[in-house]
Amino acid sequence: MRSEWRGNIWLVVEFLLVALILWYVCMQLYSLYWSYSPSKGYDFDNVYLSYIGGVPESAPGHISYESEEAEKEANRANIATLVNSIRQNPDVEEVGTGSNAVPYNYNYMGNMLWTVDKGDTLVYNYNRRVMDANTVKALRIRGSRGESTEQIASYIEDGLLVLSEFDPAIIELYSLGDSVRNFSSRFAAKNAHIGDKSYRVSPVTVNYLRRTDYEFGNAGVMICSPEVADDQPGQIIIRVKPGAGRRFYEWIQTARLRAGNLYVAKTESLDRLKDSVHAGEKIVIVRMSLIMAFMLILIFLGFLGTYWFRIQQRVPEIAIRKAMGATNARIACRMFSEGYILMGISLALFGGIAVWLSLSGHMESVMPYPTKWIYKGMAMTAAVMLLMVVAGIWFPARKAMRINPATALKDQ
Amino acid sequence: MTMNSNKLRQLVYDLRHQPVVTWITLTGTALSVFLMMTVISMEQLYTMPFAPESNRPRLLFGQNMEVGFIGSQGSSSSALGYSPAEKLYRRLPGVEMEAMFQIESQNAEAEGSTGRPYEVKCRRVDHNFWKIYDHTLLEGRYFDSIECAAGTRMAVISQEMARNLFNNENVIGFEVLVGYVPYKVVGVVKNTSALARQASGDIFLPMSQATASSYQHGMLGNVSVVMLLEDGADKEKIRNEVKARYATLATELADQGMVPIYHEQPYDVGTVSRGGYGSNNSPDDSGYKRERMITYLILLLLPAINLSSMLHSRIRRRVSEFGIRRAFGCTRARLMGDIISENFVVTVLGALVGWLCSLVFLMSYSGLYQNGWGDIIGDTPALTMLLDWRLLLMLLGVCFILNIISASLPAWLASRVNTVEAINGRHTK
Amino acid sequence: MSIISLKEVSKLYRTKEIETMALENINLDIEEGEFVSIMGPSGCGKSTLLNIMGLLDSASSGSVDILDCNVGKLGDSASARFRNANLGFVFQSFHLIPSLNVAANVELPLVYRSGVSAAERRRMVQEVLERLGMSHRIKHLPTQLSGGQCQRVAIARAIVGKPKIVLADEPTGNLDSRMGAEVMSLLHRLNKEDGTTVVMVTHNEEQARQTDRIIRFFDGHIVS
Repeated sequence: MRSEWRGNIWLVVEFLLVALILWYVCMQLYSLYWSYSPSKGYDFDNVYLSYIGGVPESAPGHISYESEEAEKEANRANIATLVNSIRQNPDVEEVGTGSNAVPYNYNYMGNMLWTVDKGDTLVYNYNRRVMDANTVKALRIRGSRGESTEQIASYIEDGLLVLSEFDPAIIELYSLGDSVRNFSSRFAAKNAHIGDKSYRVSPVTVNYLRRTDYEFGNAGVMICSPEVADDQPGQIIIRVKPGAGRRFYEWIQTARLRAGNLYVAKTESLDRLKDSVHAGEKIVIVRMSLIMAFMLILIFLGFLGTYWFRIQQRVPEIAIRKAMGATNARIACRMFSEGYILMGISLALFGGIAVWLSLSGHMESVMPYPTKWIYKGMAMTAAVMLLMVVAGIWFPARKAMRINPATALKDQ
Repeated sequence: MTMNSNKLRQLVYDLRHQPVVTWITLTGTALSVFLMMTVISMEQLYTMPFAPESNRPRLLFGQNMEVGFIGSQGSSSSALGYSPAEKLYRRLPGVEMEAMFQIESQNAEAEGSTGRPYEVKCRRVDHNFWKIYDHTLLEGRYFDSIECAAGTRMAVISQEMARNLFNNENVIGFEVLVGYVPYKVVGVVKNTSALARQASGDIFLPMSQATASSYQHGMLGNVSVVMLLEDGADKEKIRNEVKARYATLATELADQGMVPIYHEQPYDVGTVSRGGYGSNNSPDDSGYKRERMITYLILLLLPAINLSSMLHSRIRRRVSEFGIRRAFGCTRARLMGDIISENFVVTVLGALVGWLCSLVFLMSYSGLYQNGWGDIIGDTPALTMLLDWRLLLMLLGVCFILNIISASLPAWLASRVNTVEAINGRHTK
Repeated sequence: MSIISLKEVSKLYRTKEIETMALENINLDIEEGEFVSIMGPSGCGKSTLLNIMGLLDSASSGSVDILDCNVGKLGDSASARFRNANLGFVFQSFHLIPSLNVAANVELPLVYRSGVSAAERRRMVQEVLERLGMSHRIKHLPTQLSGGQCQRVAIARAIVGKPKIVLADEPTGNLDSRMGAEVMSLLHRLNKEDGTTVVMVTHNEEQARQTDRIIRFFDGHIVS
């Protein structure tokens, strides 16, 4: 090995550089894998989302109102008309309204909610989702302890706030503990406040409604009706009968539903919305996978080429060893053990550099992950590279095992 | 010629007699070039000219506006209002012409005589837009400055929209509803790739003071400005002039309790196409350049280590030959040059494979192309765009640099071998 | 007048563990047009001497003059040019480049000589191969030739550039007696017809006696 020091140094350098990059890639992929968690406690199969559009003033048939209040009142009625038109469709099971009601939207609007429980003042900035009782039914939102959709819907109908439990992913990631896990339950059935307004909180909680399936955002969600939020809904949420989706979609595209200054604009299924929201993550997965494949192929080729050439150079030596009694297994072991030594040196260097980078904070901006993840990432990297190195040495080792001592020494 | 054909013959012989090393070399090169050209092509698509954005190298953009409130930490930002757009960007020295337009197309619903609504990409543009960008007018005409200023409801639509909305391509004079508002079709243009980020669209409507949106006392709205520079114009000088106009605007706004916040505008096309910054902060061009250099370094250096090792292996088999060459008068420099130039041929062979793979990948995977906010553009480049001479030159450059990085050290080591030891085949390093 | 002149030349090989004095205070003059044999047991320094004369190695001390030039002072590129212009080499193992055909192998020294066009190179290669009776194998690879033919090609390569001196290191060592005799006959022809100075290292007493002078070596010294 010492006589091959130059080639070995190249291999170690290459291994080290690839390991560091692969470490980053493993972390990216691991964070996506770890954070992947579709929200529980609701169903969005056969659910469609329509956006309510406003006809501009310059459009024909635009109605002007005397006051803002009059317009608000008219719009409430117009929305009801649109909803009823949709409800007439025989393929529709349930239809409701809301704003930022469904998952897979980047809504960051929140309200600081506070209450007092056993002498403690509890405060949290809940992410707000506005939906009426029908939307709760359309999404089949259930309680975190299995309470029925109808029950949740009735709370919304009664003007209560329904809070979600905190996102379990965040709790686990930051080891926040059970007190945080049950935080929202401490608001249950109490009066809570937003600013100087007071609201009644429902006695049950629901599961967290993530913005995407890879979400790491706000921990808790608050659901309330449009009346409670004093908000004109901008969305219509429709559940259709199973198998009727395509037909319903064709119908709503051509129906051109309009009431007053409002109309049903773009409609899409929640499946499609989910795909487009996750397109970014999919691209990250593709890109990271490409980089990983590139790196692993490089390492594989590096070891394959180097050891292949070494076998060619060492044919007489291997032939002599075999003539002296070495078995094929011993020949192969020798090859692999050389590779393991190189890998051991490389991994030791990689480990040292990686630990230093993590502890020094230099990787903070590039890999903002918890320390335990970073070590897991290092282990994943080492395992994957070990595999490639073994694969790279395997073929030359097989060639070495096949050397016929008589032929090789005669040629020599 | 004889010498070159001898060299080629020798190279083929050498490659054929070491198939494993040859395949590893070619694969490593192909892989490296595949990734390099994919990254380079994606990046070049932000800046290289292609119709209708053939003037890209001569364009600058006044994109956003942020206004702060005197006596408060708050601010508000978005695209510009029409009036500040004119004050900041009209008739700048070194600018041949400017156009007011929406830099990002908007989704809207359009309906034609088929009665079926379509979600379209709609862009408001003024009359100069058609002079700065080179769309192909298939039918009719563009709207002129008077029609623009008056806010006349006319539209220029794409060929595809003509078919979708009217089942027809002869649609001049037809009415199209955009968001329930009727417009008369006055022109039809050839379809454009969505990769032409600032010029593509399905429906183009007039932009003017009358039609632009406006809020925050007219400071903010939906207007951006594209400027076509004169040949040889100094971009820094133009930026400095805009900065000076910001100062003048600040004086005017002081009475209203507002102050315009300058963010290094106007931007060039690369910055605008890459995006990734908000209307209330400056783009991080140096950060992007740094990231790009690191990417290139990794994509070149790592395979180069492999290739260097493979070349070293190939050379070791020929060490006796190099000794003979040295004995017969070949200098060290000449030997190095011969090895590097031979290796260039191998690099080019592998690179061609890698490049072809990258072409296929770039043309088939639309997920590569995103705007600054990570939304998929949904279009892939045409082959003609990827065969642009700039990209081909860059391919050659990549081959050259990869060759130099991977071959220099083995070639240098080969040239330093002791001649006598080499001839006798005793050199084992 | 001496074409090659060595004065007090020594060569010391030094590794981490041992020092070997391969040549010690060698004084030697070779006249122009001479055919000289160098003989001695294995390891006595014959090949080292030849390498120093051929500028393939440098003396540790002393001076080496070839064609009135103190070659010890020449740098690497100058040495290469000097070798190309004035010296030809013939090796025991032929050392033909296996991936090049006969013409390309013979052409090698001319490739490194500036001012020779491709056409001129072809003409010179053709001429020398015809002279040595190898023109019918011009496109063959070395693996397609016999040992004697290989050595003839190697000699062609050594003389194509019309060097003044040919250094031959056991040129018949890998050949049978018949082929060896052929090769020796070629070398004598070169010496007699072209006036080329030939310095040959050999173990073959018979062949050595046919040359103008025999220099005998032992343990790095000239003994006669």
